[in-house]
Amino acid sequence: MSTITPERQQTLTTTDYPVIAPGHNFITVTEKIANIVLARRTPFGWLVGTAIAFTMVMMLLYTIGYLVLTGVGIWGNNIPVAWAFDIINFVWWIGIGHAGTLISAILLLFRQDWRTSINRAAEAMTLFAVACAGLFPLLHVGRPWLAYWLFPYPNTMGMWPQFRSPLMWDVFAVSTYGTVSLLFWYTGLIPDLATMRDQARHPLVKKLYGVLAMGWRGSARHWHRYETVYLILAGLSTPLVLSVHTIVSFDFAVSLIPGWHTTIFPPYFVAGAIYSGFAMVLTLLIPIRKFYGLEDLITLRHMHQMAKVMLATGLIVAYGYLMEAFIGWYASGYEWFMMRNRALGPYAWAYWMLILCNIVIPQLLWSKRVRENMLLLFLVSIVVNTGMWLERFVIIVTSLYRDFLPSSWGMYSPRLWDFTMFFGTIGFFLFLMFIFIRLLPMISIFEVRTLLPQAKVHTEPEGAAAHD
Amino acid sequence: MLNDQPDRTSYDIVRERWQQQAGAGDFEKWWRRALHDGVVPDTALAGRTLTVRTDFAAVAPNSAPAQGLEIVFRPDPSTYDGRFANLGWLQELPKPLTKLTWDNVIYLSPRTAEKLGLDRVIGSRGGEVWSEIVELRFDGRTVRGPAYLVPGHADDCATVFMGYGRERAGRVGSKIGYNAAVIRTTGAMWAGTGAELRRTGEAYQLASTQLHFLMEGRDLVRATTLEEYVQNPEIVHERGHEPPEDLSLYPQYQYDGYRWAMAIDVSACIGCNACIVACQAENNIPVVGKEQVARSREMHWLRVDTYYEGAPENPTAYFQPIPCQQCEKAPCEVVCPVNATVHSAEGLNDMVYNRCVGTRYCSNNCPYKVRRFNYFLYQDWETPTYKMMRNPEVTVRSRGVMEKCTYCVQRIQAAKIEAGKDGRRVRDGEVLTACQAVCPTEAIVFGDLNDPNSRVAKLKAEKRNFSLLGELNVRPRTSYLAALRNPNPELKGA
Amino acid sequence: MAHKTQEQPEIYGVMAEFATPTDLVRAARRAREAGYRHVDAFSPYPIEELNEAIGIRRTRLPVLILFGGLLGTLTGYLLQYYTSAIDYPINVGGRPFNSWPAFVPITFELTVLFAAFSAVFGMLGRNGLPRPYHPVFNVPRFELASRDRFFLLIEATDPKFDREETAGFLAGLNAQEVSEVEP
Repeated sequence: MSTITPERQQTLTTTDYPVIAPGHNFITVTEKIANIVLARRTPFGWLVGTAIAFTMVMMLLYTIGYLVLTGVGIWGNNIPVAWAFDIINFVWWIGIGHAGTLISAILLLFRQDWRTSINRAAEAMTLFAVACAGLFPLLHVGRPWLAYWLFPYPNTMGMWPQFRSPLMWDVFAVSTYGTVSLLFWYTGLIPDLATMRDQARHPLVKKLYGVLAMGWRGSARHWHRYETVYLILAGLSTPLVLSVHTIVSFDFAVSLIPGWHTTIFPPYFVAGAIYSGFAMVLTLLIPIRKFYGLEDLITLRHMHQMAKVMLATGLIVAYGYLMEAFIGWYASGYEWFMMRNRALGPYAWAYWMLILCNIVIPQLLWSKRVRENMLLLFLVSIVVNTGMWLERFVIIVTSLYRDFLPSSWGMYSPRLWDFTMFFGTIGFFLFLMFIFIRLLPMISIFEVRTLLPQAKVHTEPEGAAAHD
Repeated sequence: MLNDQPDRTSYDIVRERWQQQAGAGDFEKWWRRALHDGVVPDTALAGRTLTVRTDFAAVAPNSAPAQGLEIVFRPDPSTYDGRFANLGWLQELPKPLTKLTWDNVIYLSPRTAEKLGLDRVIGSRGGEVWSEIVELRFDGRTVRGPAYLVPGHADDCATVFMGYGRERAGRVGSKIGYNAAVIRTTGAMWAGTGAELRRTGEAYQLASTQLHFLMEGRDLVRATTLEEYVQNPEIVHERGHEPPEDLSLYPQYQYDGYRWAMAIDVSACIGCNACIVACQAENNIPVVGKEQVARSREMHWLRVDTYYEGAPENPTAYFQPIPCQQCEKAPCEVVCPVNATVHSAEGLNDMVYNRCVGTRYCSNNCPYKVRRFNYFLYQDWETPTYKMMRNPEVTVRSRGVMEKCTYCVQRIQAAKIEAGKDGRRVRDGEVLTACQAVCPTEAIVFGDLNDPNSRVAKLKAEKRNFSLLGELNVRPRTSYLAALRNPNPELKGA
Repeated sequence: MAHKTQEQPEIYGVMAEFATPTDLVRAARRAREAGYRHVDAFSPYPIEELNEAIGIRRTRLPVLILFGGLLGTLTGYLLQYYTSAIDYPINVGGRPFNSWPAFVPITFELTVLFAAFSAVFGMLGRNGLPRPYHPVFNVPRFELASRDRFFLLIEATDPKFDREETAGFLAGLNAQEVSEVEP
């Protein structure tokens, strides 16, 4: 995309929807966003939603307790299919966790102003998705109490982790990604925490936000360093976000199983991650925006742009599927058998559902009418989330269950505890989201201020004088 | 002997009998001569001239009984007549042709089953197969059991297996399977005709360790005929795509001491399963039960794959024992994040149980799927008597760890210690792996490849030696000798 | 700084409040032209023009981050090299002890991690944060600095500082309000 000149910006905003509805000023945007948190009354809908999510968290905790006490055998995993829901869910969550950093980092580098009112929530979503994702590698192991052996630390056994394993790369990639996302998110929050400190009336609340704001006072010197660091963090996060799903894809690509051993995986996984991440952002933001009346700040412009990103990444993913099939045919042998088995074997329903969810239905997004219809957009985003989950099911299960020796082929079906674990993490994710909405400004206030017309410094008349 | 002449010895009885036979003359002389020569002269049966009846096929008993099915009674391949029914090792031992565990079934040929509308349906759990309970009526008695399709089985015939359906066999063997003895009478001890089979529509879950018996065009068990092999000894090698040894980006590790390896002769393997049980006993392998086998979580370190080739009515069956292939470029090792499976200086793919955290990645990346995972605590750690059952040389594994064939590393170590005491190398044949030790056909040979005179080294030098999935270039230490068949040309097409 | 200056001037500085960013930038330029050097500006969002208006030099943080990143690269590679090839070399799947291609991902991740830590903690450190107390918060209206108001501070440590004169100077710059900052 070419750089956006002021003229082009002008034409864009006049022909398209603005990134912020007209009529707002510093006070209105500040109060609009801050008051969602500082309002005394907790909305009833929030309480209901949180209660449901909390119940699901309890279900998750019960499952984890039972799992740790009994063994991973409570899941449906078996010997040809030694990874199933556990790793499917891990990859699914990690993929979802890509949108936040993508929106805040890559779109910042590309100077896309529409990132501003969605980046905070998307980054929070990233963190929570990474938290959910992190649970799976930790708990899918046979002896979770020894999972810390995956970290390199000097010990009396004299043992070290085995750094050639893609799982070790995962450990470093996911923990780095989680940490950097947290730093990025928190850095972005500091000025807003100062706003919350100054807006809060209750002394205890004031103190709390005061501690979190660390004494931020908006000094020009601080802003200067802050802006520099924020930009550099964006520059660091961009390759990081691309590397994380690349490394996750290495879990499969580095192995030798037909259907896993594929060089197309890194780009195809990254595109899929962005695809599912944007779908999840839409799934969350459409109801939030409606519920809290944030249509002025999260405008149709945002919805359009996100839908378009989904459409684009969806097409990349479609290309990935096509390439996978083509390479399977071209390679013949085990690969072609795997491909035909995916499309025609006992799990063909999953493959064709995936094609329907990830390729066919999202083509609706070509239509402007669909992109502007919040209900349809919401439904499409749910469909894409489902499709991306199915994609991981297809990759993991339908590659493992029939590999080289027909004698060791075996079917797979999930059990109750697979589902409670999966839906439990969805509950955990939603619960964290609810808490976030209630306690922290879900839109970056200070960045929204910069979008206002009154934020511009008019230097024309004085400029000449000042330079003399 | 409890008869009326208690003082007569057996010598007297035999002597008396021959006295009647000897006829006239000096019996004492005749008797001594016969004892000395060991033969009574001129008592051989007269030779008879026989002619082959060329119409034998027409007068042979009709293989298709006029009405109903032929029924065949067989002892179960694992529990025999039921005397071993309470032995978990044998209950979980996959039956040679069907790979079923924990059940006896009624064998039918695919065509007969099709006629009855019966089928074998693969379930969704992993090792699960669904079949239908049928009611078998024979000689006025009935028994209910699951029907099962077996390629190569005779048409219009049902084979039932004894050894199951015991009411009080013990903790393991009670109330599993059906009791075939119920319909077995003295009138038809081993076979009979006129059995009737009725479908019940009741589905029954069976646990099998192998679901798929076709090679799908993959060259897994290489087989050829003697004639072809003699004409072209390279025929086995030509069929593979094994890259040359030095074609690798990786360094060639030197194995200076011992280089343990195994060669398995597919020609010799008769699929008797003795190796599986020996391995289970030697290596403290747990029995997991039918439910877990149905979930494809059996723990056998060694399995014997069965493949059928050709028409389902008359297929050729191959047996291929699959222990860990002990790959030199082991794909399982590279993906383990905690160094729980690494290579020894003798080329063994060692599994370090107490380091394993149980990611199961190694199993996923094993092309032979020989790794077994303790999904639960399968071992009984509490019952004291089991402690006496176990091999003290082998670790008892806890839950959450991976395990697999070790080439009986404990036996290797013991032999090395013995050899060390004498200050010599381990001799060929000194280490017998458990599977090798019990193999009745000596199909499994284990030894040191660094010793050019070892049996294994000689077998591996044979032209019919091949690596399973050699094209993956993982350099397995276990290799196979192609099956050589020598069919009678006159029987071709029969 | 606040403690040192306690005995001489009993205030921290003089602060002026402005309604628009334009006024703030203009006032900052004037103050600099008038010779004030210990000047700081406060705004609810970053204003690029202030950098040159109050003479902020380019921050050296990027260099720090670069070195942080390089340290991460070294740490990542050396950790893997030391553990796999020196401390406990073992034959894993026939791969070389120093399997450098396999060591790239972690090296990269640690580079980013260390750089990110340097960036955030460098920024906080150079900004003197966290700082629970600062004199500017004594100005009651200063809490609007995080909402919609713009402030210019001339510190008492400035050589040109004079309580009345500086306050008067600031008042003449279209300030809404001028107040003294308690130390």
